[in-house]
Amino acid sequence: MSEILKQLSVCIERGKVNQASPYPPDMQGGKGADELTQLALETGISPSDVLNQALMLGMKNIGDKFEAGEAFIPDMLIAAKAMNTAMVHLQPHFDSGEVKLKGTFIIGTVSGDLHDIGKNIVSMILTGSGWNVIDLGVDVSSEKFVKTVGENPGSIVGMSALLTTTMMQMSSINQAIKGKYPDTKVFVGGAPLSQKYSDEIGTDGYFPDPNKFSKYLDAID
Amino acid sequence: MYPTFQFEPSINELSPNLETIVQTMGYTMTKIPDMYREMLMHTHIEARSIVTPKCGFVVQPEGSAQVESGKVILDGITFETKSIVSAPLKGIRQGVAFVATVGPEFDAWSKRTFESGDPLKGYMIDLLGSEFAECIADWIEAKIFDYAITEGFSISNRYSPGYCGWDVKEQHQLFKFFPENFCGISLTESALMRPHKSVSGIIGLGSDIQREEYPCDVCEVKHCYKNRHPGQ
Repeated sequence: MSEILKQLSVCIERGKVNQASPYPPDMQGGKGADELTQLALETGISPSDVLNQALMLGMKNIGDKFEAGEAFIPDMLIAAKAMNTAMVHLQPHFDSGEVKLKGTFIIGTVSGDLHDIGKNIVSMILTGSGWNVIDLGVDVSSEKFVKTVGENPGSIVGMSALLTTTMMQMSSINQAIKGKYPDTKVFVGGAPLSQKYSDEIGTDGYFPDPNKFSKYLDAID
Repeated sequence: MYPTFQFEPSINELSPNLETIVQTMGYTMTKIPDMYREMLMHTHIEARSIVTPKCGFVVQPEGSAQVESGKVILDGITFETKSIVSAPLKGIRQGVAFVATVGPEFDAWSKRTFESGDPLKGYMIDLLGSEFAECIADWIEAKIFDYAITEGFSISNRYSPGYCGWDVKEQHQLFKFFPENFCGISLTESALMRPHKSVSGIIGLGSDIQREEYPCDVCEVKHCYKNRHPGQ
């Protein structure tokens, strides 16, 4: 792997956004994800290699640490910020179809619930893992989920809820999606949920950890 | 028309519990990395200039409260609260409905920060918003306590739709007690409050009522952010 990609991967993992960023302190003054992504593309490294060998690797590394209890939500978010910065340079290559994504993942917090941090983290991890993520936001109705699935054939759905009272919405949303698009895989996440609950309402799985979920999606893709 | 009280507490009266925020982030006060501590402190200072606290309460007539198993009836409006809420309210003479909010500017700040691609600061803003909202709810609870004392009553814990098994949709019923746009808070069709960082709920007043430990130990939701017994 080229030295630029190695450095870029570390910048993503450590959350070094750009040269001006004072964080993390031990990388102060050095190039960040912004400059290194641009440099990589300018030196002829393919956008796919930038994505696969640097951005996805950096996100995977921090995700593995998170899964092992060695990193926490702020570490994931600062990494995501660096990744967002790098992705700006890759966006034209996604738009042109030069870089292929793994598929489309539709995510939203269910109707009656506005908690979005967990959903945002899943969204960022999957984006960093090479998925086209459509984030419907919070307080998302059944109709909106179904409509978006219809507009994106073959997509996978993730529903989030933080309240015991709003997680009940997941059952009817799942039924509405599968009623119209029976082959759609629907997953759930959120603090009050469990695999048992997912089984009860007929969704395809519950994941408490975004990194494990990302690996699972890669396996079934 | 119910007796209605509205307040705008000074920001100087509000001290969000930063330790709770640090714990939610996954650290302790002594083990949080310096860069995150620094960012949190800066964001907290900024938050103090953005929060515009408002809160208020309305008091229902004495003798208008009834409590049955899993139900609380306040001045003719029935709330299907489940027993975690109804059991400790047995014996109340009247209900007080309250709201508290950090104000609309906070939502806009949070949205701007997330949209600018800074999810870490956005996350800290979100946590600070929740803590400020709880602080303002504590503040109004103290005012309700003062009111109750003057009436010769004591007060119950406060309970909110969406928690302790009480369906968030019943917030529509609760808001029937308030004048329109009370404290600048409105409800969406799906019963969410705007501004987002707002708290609503009820408190019972009665002679033999007392505030007790929240029954979080019997609740199945161990990760609820309102859990008063963390670590179980």
